[in-house]
Amino acid sequence: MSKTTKALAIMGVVAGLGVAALPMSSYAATDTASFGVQVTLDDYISVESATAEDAYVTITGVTNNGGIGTGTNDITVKTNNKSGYYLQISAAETDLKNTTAGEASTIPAGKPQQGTSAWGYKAAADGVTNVTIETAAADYAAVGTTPTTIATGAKETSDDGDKITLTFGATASASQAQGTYQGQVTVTATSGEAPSA
Amino acid sequence: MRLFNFIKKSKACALLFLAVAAVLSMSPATHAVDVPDFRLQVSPTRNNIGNLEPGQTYEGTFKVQNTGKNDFKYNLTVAPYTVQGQNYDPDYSKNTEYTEITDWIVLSEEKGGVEVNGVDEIKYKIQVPSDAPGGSQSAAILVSLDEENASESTGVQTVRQAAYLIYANISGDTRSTGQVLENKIPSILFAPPVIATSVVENTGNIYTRAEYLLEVKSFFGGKVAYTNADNKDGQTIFPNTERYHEVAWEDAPQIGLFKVKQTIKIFDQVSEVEKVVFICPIWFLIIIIAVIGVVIFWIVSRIFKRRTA
Repeated sequence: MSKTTKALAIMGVVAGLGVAALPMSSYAATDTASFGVQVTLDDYISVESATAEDAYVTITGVTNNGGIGTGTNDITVKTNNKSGYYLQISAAETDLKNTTAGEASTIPAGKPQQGTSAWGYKAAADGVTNVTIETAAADYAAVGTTPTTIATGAKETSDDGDKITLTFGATASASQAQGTYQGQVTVTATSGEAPSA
Repeated sequence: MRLFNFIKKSKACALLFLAVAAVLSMSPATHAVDVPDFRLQVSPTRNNIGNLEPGQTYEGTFKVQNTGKNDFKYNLTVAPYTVQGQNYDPDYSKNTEYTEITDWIVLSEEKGGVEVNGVDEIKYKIQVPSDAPGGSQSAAILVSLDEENASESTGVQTVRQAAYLIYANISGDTRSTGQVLENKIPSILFAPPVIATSVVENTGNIYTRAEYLLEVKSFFGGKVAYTNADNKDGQTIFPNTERYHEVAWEDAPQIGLFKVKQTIKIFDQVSEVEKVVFICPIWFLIIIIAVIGVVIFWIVSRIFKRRTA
């Protein structure tokens, strides 16, 4: 078979397939029907843990008489509410308790400082716009039983959400008993109120 | 030249280059949002019920959604909902005469679990006692992720939680009184936007919506430059609270002279303030000051010259 014959054969096959495909598009029904499509979305608010380990923040580097030991935790908030959101922190019990058997010592909530026993938190939101980190949360502060606002979002968040980084810091005095100290905080996200709701 | 010749000779390299370029040019459009291990989502986020009668039973629902990568368990608690300060920061720890509704709410479940991309519809019932006092009542249903603490190191467990708010006015002995404490418009701005601020107080015992109307007219001619009359701002004001509010004209020009009026309404109280607002960039102000300085210098120097002549 010459090259010309081959080329003609290939073109013939392609043309044949094209003709075969034509009816599917050219003989489609010409009747038209119109219908409306409606999607209703309520407002929402979400909080997330990027990884399962985020549920627990290990505070490392805490030594008697030493500097501030720290651990960080990212909280991402998303909302489509035009008035944004409030992110707050609170604790039912504010002390870190020594979980070692037979021990009853605690590290109280407060501003951690070398030479004293205290633990606290601070917040940051690097690279996120329309978020205000409240003054009280910009430096180490004690967690209270009443919810304290750590960040407010002024409007709906982007698809990536607003990532707020919480840093927990703790210090131990010279007399702080050895052991493992643990506590629990609750971080609550509440939507704002849309102005025209 | 050698490189050019090499590429020219090597069709494979050229094709590879084109493929890489195509992939690189596509990547911004195909940006995917990371899905976290756990994401607790509540929707909608509030129920402004309106009026309820003593003895009435009200039924409502909301959704707990799992939009993360793993199944999760959750806990539900009913808490009092009040607000702190003029910025209305939520408070779920304080019981007042306006949070008795907390005891009237019955949940269909107090804990549950949702599979990935699953939705749980939470049903709740509000059974208003027949002797319920008239006035506002507010509560929150708090949905918290139930994550176990398996760590044995020093640290803090962080429980993530989202709030669903509920509020209603109970019919009966009610008072609808309020006042506008502040209604402020700035006179000089160095840059847009024009922001009018206010503080209103609800001195009654039912919650209401305060309305905020902003109207901007050009100083010369009085042509309307902006108004939110078709979509007035409104905010819920709870009893015995003061609330701060801002209304902004975001698209105001960089320079201009306007008449700005803010009208605020709470119950039957209306406050109206109108001011002339001058938007003037700092560089323009410096030029004006410099021009005035030059003119003064010129006048003084002329006077001085005349005297010496």
